[in-house]
Amino acid sequence: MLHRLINSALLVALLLILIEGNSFAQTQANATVNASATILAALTITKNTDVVFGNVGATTPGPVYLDPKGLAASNYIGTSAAVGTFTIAAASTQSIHLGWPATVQLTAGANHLTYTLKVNGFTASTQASSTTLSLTGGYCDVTTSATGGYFLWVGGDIGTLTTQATGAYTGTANFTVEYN
Amino acid sequence: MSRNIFTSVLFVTMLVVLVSGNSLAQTQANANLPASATVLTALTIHKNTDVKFGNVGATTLGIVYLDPTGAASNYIGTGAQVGVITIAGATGQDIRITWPSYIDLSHGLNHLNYVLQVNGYTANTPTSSTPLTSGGSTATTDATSGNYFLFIGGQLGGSTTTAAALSSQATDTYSGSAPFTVEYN
Repeated sequence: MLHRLINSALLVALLLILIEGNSFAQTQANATVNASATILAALTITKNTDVVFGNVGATTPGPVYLDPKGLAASNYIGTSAAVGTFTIAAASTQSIHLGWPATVQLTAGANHLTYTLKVNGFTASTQASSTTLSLTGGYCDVTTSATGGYFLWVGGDIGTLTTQATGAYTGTANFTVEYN
Repeated sequence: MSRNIFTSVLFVTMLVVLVSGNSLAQTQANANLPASATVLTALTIHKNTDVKFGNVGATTLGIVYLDPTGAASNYIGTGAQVGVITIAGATGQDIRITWPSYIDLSHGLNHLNYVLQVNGYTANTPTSSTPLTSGGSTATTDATSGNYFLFIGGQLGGSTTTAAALSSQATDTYSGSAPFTVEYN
């Protein structure tokens, strides 16, 4: 009789332990997510000058072209034409991610012109040394200089004009830069 | 040792007998105490990816924000990534998930406040996820798979309650950890 009681008590105790252990294993689970951020020197992009095609005839023999490398190779632009310029300041020799629209609509009232951007870049402010930057998926990666600088020159074309409506056409192109 | 065990068992047995004897002394008054436990599929939580803000400027024009849906992030590096956690449990079951509303990212003496934003959804599609209540929230696992997914982003900088753009933040690599807990409702 005593032996049976002992066995029963042990069995109850074992069952209690098993049930308790089981419920703990299934009622709460934990995981840890790690978070990180690397802070580099402040990243800035400053527009120095706007893109100006100047006064252009309503009909041109060829594409109206503003060469970002300088006015020497430009065609059918006005004498007041100017290449747009940006200065980027960032961490030294750091890969950065540039973005700009391939085209922008210039408008004058109800009239439109399609401006196709051409952008050159270089690690120093020497326009003549700049090279063409190409967009891949709307972005272009470049590396800043040892002092963290990078420079952009913005030209492009508005196509060959054929009795284009006269007017002052304007538009805006948004340039972005971020760290890679 | 065996004597001790035997004595303990005897003691337990005596207690049982005494309690039993007591109830018998009341001439058979009975009451039932229902006891129940619902055992569900084991609940697991697994981190798939960590939260990464990537390379960020020391001064930013606006709040550094990593969008858990991946759509509207600002001022983060191109190497940024949303944290992802997979929860697996019983199908269509209510669960409660808790996490810290903010953590401190640090390195050496430098600190950076990180306010978490956690989105959730029943499938691993962050674009369909919706924000969960800060710090803790209830959700329901998928009716078919039993899964629930968390997508973790948030804001860097400012205080624990008010986000702000970075202003001359010390350049450094900051890191920290956020514990997530899940339990059945």
